[in-house]
Amino acid sequence: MQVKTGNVFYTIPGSLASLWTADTAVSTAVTLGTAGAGTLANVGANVGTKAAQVTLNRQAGNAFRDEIAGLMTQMGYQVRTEVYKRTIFGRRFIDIEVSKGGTVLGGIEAKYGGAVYSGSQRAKDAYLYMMHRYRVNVVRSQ
Amino acid sequence: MMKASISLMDKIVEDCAGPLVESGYAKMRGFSFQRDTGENVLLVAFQQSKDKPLDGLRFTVNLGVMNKALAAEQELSLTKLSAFDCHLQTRLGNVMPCMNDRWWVLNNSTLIDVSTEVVGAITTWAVPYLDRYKTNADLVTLWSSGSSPGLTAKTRDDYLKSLIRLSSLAAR
Repeated sequence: MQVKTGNVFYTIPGSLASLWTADTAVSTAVTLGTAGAGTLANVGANVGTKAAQVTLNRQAGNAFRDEIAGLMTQMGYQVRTEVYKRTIFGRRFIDIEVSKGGTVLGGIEAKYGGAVYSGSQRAKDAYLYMMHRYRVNVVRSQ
Repeated sequence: MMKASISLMDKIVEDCAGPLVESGYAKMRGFSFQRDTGENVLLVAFQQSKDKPLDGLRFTVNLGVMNKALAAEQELSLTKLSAFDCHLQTRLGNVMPCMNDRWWVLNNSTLIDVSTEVVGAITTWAVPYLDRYKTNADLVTLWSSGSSPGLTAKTRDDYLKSLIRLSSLAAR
C-alpha cells in the first residue's frame, strides 16, 4: 500500500504496521487498544462539567498518543513525542515522530474520539511532505 | 501551582547550568544553553510538555546541532536558536543507554531525584554526544553514513549536498 500525506488509518489490528510500508520487517501481530482500552474508558467515565470533559478528553487523547508511541517502539521504531516543526504556515506540533535506523520517516497525528484533522494541519502537513518528504499519518481511536 | 512549577523548572535548569557552563555552554533565553564550536552551534534545550499532570509538570531535554553555513543559507537566526530548526535533533533519552524518548515528571517530591538523574545524564551522555559534531566534516561524515537524527532521508541528502558545496566554496 502506498502511503500518502493525510491518509487516515483506523486502529484495527495490524493497521499501525501499514504506516511505514518501506520496512517489510514490521510485525503485524500488534493489536492497538487492548492494553489501554480499559484505561481510556475509565478516563471518560463520570463526566461532570464541560471543563472537566475537556480535561478528560485531553487525558484520553494523551493516553491514546502514548499507547501508539509505545506500540511503535515495540515494533522496533524510534519515537519522539511532542515534536515541533517549522512550516511556512506556522509551527506544526507533531504528536509522534517516527524514525528507523537513525532517519526520520514521518509523523503520526493521534486523533482520539471525534477530533478533527483541520485544514490548517493539512496545509502544514502538505508543506512538510513537499519540502522534506515528511509524511504525517492520522491514526484514529475509532 | 503554575508559579511553583516554573520555579521547579528553573531549579532543574539551574542545577544543569554548572556542568554545561564548565563544558563551554552559555545560558540563553528560556531554558536553553548553546555552545559555539566555530562551524556549528551545539544546543541543549529543556522542553515542557503540553500535558499538565495535576501533580507537577513533564519535561524533556532536546539536543541539537546547528550548522552555521547551512543556517546562513537558510537565513536562520543563531541567537534565537530553536531545537526544531537544528540540523541534528535528538533527545537526551535517545543518547542514554535506555535509548528512549524520556520525559520526567517534576514536582516537589521528585525534584531531587530528577535533578540528580538529569544532571548526570547531561554530563555523562549529552555533552560527549554533542562533542562529536563540532565541525562541518563531522556532520558530513554522519549524514554520509545514512544516519540523520531528526531529519528525513530527503532533507539529509539536501543538506549533505549543500554542506559539501558550501565547504568547497569556503576552501577555495
